Amino acid sequence: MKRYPLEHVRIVDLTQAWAGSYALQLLGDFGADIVKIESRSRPDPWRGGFEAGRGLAAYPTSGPGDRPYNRAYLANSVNRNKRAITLDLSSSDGVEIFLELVREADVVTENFTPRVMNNLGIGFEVLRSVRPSIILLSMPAFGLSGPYSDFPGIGGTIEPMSGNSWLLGESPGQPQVSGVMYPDAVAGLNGAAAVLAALQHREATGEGVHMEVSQHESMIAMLGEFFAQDAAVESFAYRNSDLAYPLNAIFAALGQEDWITVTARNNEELCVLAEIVGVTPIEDDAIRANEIEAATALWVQSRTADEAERCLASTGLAVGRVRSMSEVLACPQLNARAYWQLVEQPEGIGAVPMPGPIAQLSVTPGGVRLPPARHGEHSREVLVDRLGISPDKFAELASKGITGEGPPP
Amino acid sequence: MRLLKDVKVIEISGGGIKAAYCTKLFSECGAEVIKCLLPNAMHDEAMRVWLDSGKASVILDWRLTDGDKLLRGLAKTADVIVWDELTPFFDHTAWDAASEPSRLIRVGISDLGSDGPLADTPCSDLVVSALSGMAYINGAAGRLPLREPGNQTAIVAALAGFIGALTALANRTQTGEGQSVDVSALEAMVNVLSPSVLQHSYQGGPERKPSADGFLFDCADGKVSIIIASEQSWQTLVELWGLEVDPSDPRLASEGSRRLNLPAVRTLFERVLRTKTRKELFEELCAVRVPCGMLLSPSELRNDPHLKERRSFSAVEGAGVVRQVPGPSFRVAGQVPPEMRSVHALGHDTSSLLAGLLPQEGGAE
Repeated sequence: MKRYPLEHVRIVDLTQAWAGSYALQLLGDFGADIVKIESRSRPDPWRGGFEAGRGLAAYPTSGPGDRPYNRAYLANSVNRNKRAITLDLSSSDGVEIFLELVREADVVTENFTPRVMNNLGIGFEVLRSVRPSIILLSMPAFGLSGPYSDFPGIGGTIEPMSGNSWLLGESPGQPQVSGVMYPDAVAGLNGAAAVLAALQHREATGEGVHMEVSQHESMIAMLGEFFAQDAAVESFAYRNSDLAYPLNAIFAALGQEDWITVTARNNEELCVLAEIVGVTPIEDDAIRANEIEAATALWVQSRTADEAERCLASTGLAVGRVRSMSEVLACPQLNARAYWQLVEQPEGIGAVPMPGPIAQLSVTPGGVRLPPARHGEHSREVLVDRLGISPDKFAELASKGITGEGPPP
Repeated sequence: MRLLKDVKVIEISGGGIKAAYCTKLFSECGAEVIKCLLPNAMHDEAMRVWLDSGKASVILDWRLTDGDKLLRGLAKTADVIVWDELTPFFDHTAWDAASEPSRLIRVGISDLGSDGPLADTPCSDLVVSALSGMAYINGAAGRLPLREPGNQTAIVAALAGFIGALTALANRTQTGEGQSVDVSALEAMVNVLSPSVLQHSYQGGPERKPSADGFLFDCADGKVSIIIASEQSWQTLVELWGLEVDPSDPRLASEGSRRLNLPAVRTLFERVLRTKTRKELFEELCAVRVPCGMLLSPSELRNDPHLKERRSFSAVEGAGVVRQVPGPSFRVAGQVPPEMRSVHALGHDTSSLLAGLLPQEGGAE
């Protein structure tokens, strides 16, 4: 039987939406045993609500079905390799069961605003009282302290507050936001990293620790190279340019919505490009780079992307085709490295390719053990089989909406 | 943070961001990090300030027999060794062959992975951004695609390297066995885009966004982001600002239609937004649980009161110059990052760390 590197790690997960769920999926891909807790009255917002048409319309083209909350691509994209249960943490029964899970756990994760865990009566000190070596990961938008700490935040508000939207713009005064709520994913990566660092610490010392990922700070950290410069940060980074390279740009090719990227990583490569696009060398490098970029735009514009890519790549320049997602799925490099995992989706949607683990480990590679979990799918398994709650008690709790599957009774 | 104080990491550097950022994460967690560079390697002081504070600096020529012996001597007591595709003249396959089954965790980070038909293709952050689908998704209809600013595919890959290395370390505590970790920036970025991948399989797309500014709205002194996706947020705004919404206007009827008709939403909000500053809107809307963000320039961030109180930027001294750079991307709750850090001079630790690793005299400079 395949062995996973984190199969000895038990995690009780209270996170929702993208950032936290993604952090946990990264760990689940390497075998961590994750119990994701939702509520029957308020499912994870990425499920889109119990009724079709509320929230984001994230269903397959075949429609929302009878249980649309199990058919949302958003939730299903970041919740594989988890067991999903429901618990009403506003009830004493719900808190009691939660703490029973914590008693056997290594890690608890949450991405509420800072006061919520204490309000629910499950703050770090309470968790430590039932499991002294517990690790708690908190992922609030703005961190656990400071004037903004109680403010809500999601990727779309964190991005402009981090400087990323300012720098993503095509020119000064024309800021843009990413096409996805990208800071969530960045926070997720840091959340997984924080848990693993805390686990290593616990292995060495036996001590649990409370880790904190401010989604705001984790996004700002992505921009460190700009802050380190002597000149004003605002003067850098527009339209795909790079601090290190004389030319780094995207050009439109012949036809519609077809582009190639070209990077000249040094002056020699810039000369090669200049020769191809017909620019006579002159002495001033900066002027030349701009002139060569303009000439490259004209040169690419009169060719198909295939033709331009082939010609430029044959000279050793770093060239790439801007790919839509259907083209990404057909990428020969990803396919050759057996990257895609064919994963059965809930509610009869069928099997579809999902990205593989974030790193390839030679001896204990990760993988997909469990498909994306349906809302409350594993409530009975975890409460009855794992915690030893009697089937009658489970039925009683389910009838009160404290646990179970689907909308409240 | 001293979480990883018992972990020793060697970075074999060619000046690349991927290996350096991966080991920066180790260093920020208290690991002992030894950064090895070839003699006369090019370096950029600003990048060193960003990436190398707290690391020991060793100059070592691993192309030479003695240099290779010294590197292997260093690695004997190390837990993790990290390199990237810019590391020159480093044959990681020889290390894998010689190290199996050692306790060493060997982390190689590259643009496209260590094998496959494109593994040796010249590449850049922009190319990875293009190949992963990120640049396409970031671009607005009718405009050029955009990568995230800076070298973010490299940083995502570095984070993946850190996650992979610590996962391998966690496995080693169970089995005693090391292994290699192969990180492709392309694969890591596609993993980040998991929701878009599944969107494609479920619905097709994703299409490029209809406008460049998305949820950004003009206000009295700049722009704010207001997330109006949920019905609850919308109703809160309608009541808070006394907005007169025509119930028969299909553009404003549902969460989905508002998302697709942002110009109509802008028109509705304009009267209120032009009288309020970013800060006023941020505080007003967050207080009623409507997610709102101020559009801040990097210079404004350095003076932001929240970030100042949390000491989110650290002063780092390198070659006599002090620069303010972002602090750690995660922390132990309640712990404040150090106010001042420094970068070791190039080669500062060469003799102290290499002494005694060869039976005969001398390092390998």
